[in-house]
Amino acid sequence: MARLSASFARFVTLWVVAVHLVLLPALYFGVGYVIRKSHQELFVQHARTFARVLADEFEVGAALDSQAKTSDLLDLAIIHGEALHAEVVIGDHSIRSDLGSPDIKVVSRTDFGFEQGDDQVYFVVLPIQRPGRSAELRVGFDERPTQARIQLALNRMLLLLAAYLGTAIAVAAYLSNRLSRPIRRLQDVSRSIASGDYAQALQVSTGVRELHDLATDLEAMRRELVGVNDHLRREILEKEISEGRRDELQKQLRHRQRLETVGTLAGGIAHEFNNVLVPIILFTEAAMQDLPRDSASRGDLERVMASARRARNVVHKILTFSHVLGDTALAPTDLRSVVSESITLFSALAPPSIEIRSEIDAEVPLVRADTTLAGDVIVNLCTNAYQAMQGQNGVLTVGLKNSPPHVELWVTDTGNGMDQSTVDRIFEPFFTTRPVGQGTGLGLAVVHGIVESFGAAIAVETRPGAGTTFRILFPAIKDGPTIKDDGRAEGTAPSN
Amino acid sequence: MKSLAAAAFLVLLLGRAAPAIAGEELVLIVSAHSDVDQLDSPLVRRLFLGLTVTQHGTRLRPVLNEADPKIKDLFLQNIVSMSDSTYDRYVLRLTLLQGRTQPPVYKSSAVLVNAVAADPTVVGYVWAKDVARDVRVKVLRVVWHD
Repeated sequence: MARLSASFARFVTLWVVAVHLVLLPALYFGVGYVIRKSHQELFVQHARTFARVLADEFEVGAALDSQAKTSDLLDLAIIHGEALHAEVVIGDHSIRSDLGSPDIKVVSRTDFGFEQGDDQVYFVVLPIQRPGRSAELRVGFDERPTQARIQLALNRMLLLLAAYLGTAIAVAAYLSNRLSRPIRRLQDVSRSIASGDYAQALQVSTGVRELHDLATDLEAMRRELVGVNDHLRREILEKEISEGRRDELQKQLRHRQRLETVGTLAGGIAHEFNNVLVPIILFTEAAMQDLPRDSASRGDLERVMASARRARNVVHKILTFSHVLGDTALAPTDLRSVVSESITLFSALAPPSIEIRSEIDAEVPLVRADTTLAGDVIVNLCTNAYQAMQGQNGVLTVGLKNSPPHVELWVTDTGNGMDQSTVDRIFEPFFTTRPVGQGTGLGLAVVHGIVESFGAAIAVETRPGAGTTFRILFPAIKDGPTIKDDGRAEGTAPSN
Repeated sequence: MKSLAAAAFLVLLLGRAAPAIAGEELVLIVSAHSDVDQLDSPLVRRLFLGLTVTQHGTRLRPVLNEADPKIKDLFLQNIVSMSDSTYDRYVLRLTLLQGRTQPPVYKSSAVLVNAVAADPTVVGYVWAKDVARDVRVKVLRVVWHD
């Protein structure tokens, strides 16, 4: 795997530098070779041509016949031909231009090119043949100006290449940075998305088509991902809600099944027990009628009768809980009056340590219920609340409010509350937290049975030390009249 | 006595070798049967630059000697007086623009001498030592000497 140590901009810049470090020296030496050869070519061409013209002048013209003319011609070679040395050798003596360099002592006859030898002088030696006499032209050309021009050209080229290299690096750095900016933007947004922030859009401002297309494709992928993610989240949430609801329903079902089982069992026993009680009560009444009023046995029979009646009340409560009383005659009922009457009744019985409050809405729809049983429900709940407060000071609140599509009845106490294990069993018949002999454990069971028979629902909210609230939701009669404070009904007649 | 003999032998040896180096000459030659006795420098240059040169009604034809690099250097400097690349461009221009054929090139001086000897219109250049005793050719002028 390649090392990931360089950014895109640095990578491109380093590559540009590396490529130029290879190419520019090659270019320098290549162009330098051409420059050098061109200057040398021009120099040699000039020297040879100029020397030839001068030699032809001596050979064809009359300059050689006069030492002064020869000397003048040689001076012209120095002046116009950029020669460093000009000399004509005729026999044993030579004529040399005084304008030439006095340092030149030896003329090389085998100097055929630029920079041959160590003297930096290029010599051209040409024989001059005239009828009857021979001579020799020796011209030396200074190589240093050409060398300087070559060096100057090379230096300029070096400067040019250095400037080019700097410009290339700057342009490469600028372009790579400009190219990498949208890539970095894509990278940042991609990291944000990867870390769970799907809100950022993958949008970059770039004129590069490939980068623009890449950003567009990634944005499409992000939107798809966001859609899928939302869909999954909704499904998970719905599943959690569904599972929670299912668990709650299963719990309620199990509770209901247990209550039904207990109710069926208790109802069966109560029914049989009632069958036993009926002849006891009938024959006891018959026997009492047959006895004289002052009979000693009459008191005993009256005690039997009282016990039998108490037993019948218990049986009645059990049958109420287990719905074996037959179809209750339900009718549109004004719970406001039921609540008020029940509070009045309970207030008479409640100890002064209990403060009884009522919170009743001004307008409450009718509900389908039985007035007597509804009153039993309220009294039972109030009794339970009173017992929860265990004779201490407390507040008992009975409330009734319109909570469409229901009518909500609640009873709240400031007692000790209950734990969850107690709450799970409070509607079971004969379940009580009071000492043996102080309660039948049928109060809340009867309440539950009555509420069920009304098609209503009951719930309890409690916490140890924080009191208890029982809430009963009665289905309000649709389009039914609403009962106001003055007891006057408004609206249409009940439809169900 | 022995040292004197050794010195004499060394001088003899150097004396034999010295003319071959110090006396080197490049000469212009034509056939011994040619009517041409003299060619001045401008004519020689014109001839080897491909221009028409006639002597006694006869058109002369040049041949090039490339037997060794030094001969070519001397040809460029002392006969045509051009740089290498300038001469090449010149010949190429003559060939392409004027349709003239390039002079024959000989890689051997002996072969060139034979060609010159066989044709009175041909002019060539060789080392003087290569034609020192050759009566078939005659030397027109010394182009270069050491």
